[in-house]
Amino acid sequence: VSDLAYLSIHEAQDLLRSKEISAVELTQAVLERIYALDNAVKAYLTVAPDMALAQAAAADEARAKGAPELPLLGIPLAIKDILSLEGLPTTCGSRILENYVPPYSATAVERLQAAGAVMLGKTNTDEFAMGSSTENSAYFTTRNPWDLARVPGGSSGGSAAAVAAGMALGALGSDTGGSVRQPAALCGVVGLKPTYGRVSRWGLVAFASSLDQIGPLARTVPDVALLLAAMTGYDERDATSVEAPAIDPAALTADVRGLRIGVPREYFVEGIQPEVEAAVRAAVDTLVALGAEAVDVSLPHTDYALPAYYLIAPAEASANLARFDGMRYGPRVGGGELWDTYRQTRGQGFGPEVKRRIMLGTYALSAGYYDAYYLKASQVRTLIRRDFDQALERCDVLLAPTAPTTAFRIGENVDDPLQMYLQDVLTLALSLAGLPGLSLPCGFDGAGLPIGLQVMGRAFDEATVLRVAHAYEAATEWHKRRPALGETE
Amino acid sequence: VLPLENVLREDKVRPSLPHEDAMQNAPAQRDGYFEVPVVLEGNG
Repeated sequence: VSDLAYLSIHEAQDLLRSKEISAVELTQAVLERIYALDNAVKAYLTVAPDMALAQAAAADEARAKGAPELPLLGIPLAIKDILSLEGLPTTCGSRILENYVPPYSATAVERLQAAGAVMLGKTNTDEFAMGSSTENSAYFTTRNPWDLARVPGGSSGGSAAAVAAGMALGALGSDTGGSVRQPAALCGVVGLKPTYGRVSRWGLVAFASSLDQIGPLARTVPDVALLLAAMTGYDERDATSVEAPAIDPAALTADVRGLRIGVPREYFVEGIQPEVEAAVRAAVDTLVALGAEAVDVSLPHTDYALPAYYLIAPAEASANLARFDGMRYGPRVGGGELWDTYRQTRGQGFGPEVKRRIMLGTYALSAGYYDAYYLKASQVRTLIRRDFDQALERCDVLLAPTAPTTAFRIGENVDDPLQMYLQDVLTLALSLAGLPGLSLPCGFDGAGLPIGLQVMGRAFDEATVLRVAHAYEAATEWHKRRPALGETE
Repeated sequence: VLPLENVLREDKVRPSLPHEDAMQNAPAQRDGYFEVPVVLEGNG
């Protein structure tokens, strides 16, 4: 059973196509693993066995009828609970959307379903994707499958933990400042944040609109390429969606000969866990041995990414979250006067981190402070983008750690928001620049916790990012390790 | 990411979310409208 649940998407496809297994068997195996393990891991907010098995049965029927081969036919996936999936609750990890059921599905979800995917359920997230550990979820904290006393990262921690624990073959997350890449790193799976504009955000509950992107997580690089290809493409319902060069998963090679790999010196700073730095430097050596050329580069404005992000993202969040006022959806608290209703609904519905960011953002946008904060941060953002443009003129990709440390203990950073924000110090700059980045496993620390390697690329050049990641993955064995979860039972 | 350009579509009538679906999460409704606390005070 656990073997079926740990198939890569590509392996599962081969077995489904040759009819050695059925989609119902595969989905059942993954559901059984969820029943056996999710009480301990807590990756899912909602499991939808009836929906999943019905979709799997439909996939088997379509295949039996000889329907045209769909890229994800019968593949069970999990969706972060900030993306709308018609018919299932979408809570965003918040009490303010506790009973909200979206009347439509997100474009990205719709496209995966059109490609034949089976929907297992919705995964845990920090409230409105604001956090790096899932500890800000209003419901519960997800556990890291490699050590249940530790966080899975966040905010897409439920998706990353589900994939790592064999409770989904792949998953969707969203990444505003690192929320796909950092949990992928901490859970030892592959996660990609596409270029801003590549994947439609229609149906993704907005956090910071100039930064949000939907990204896939899976256990191998070719699987992530497959998921990205299935959901990419122009969508007129998202005004930031663009017609980008298509992703062809079949064209993915592992050939990095002649590629120039930049190693930005600002990403190996004090405070980084020595084992993380050593693993990433060794990964650079591996790629050099495969024929790539390593180049020392500088991204001089890196230090300003964190302060700029924590003005821009909260400012945009404060505006986006104004819609949660108990008028059109969500619970309404207090039946009397308007302002009292707003105050009580939002006061009880939002958790402390969301309130903190709404206050920061409202302050940064207020009259008299806009120029000093939001405008200045936007100017810094241009300088950060320019750093990347210059480095990527000389290099095909940049390589760095994804997170400064491996998974930290639950509760370790909750009393110190600034320490928590530092978790994203190596992913924020790329988000501000709008560029694509991928995290994949590149080793384990002394405690047996996974380390993430970040591959960053040019706008809409996910193909090269995936190629470098695939080459590294094909030359190493890290992605084949599994957490001991369940195997000891 | 890109040079700025307005994104516009043709102004055509198309099917949209059915009314009942759009109202399905309303905490309070009356006659097909969202029912809300009094917004304008004074002359009501």
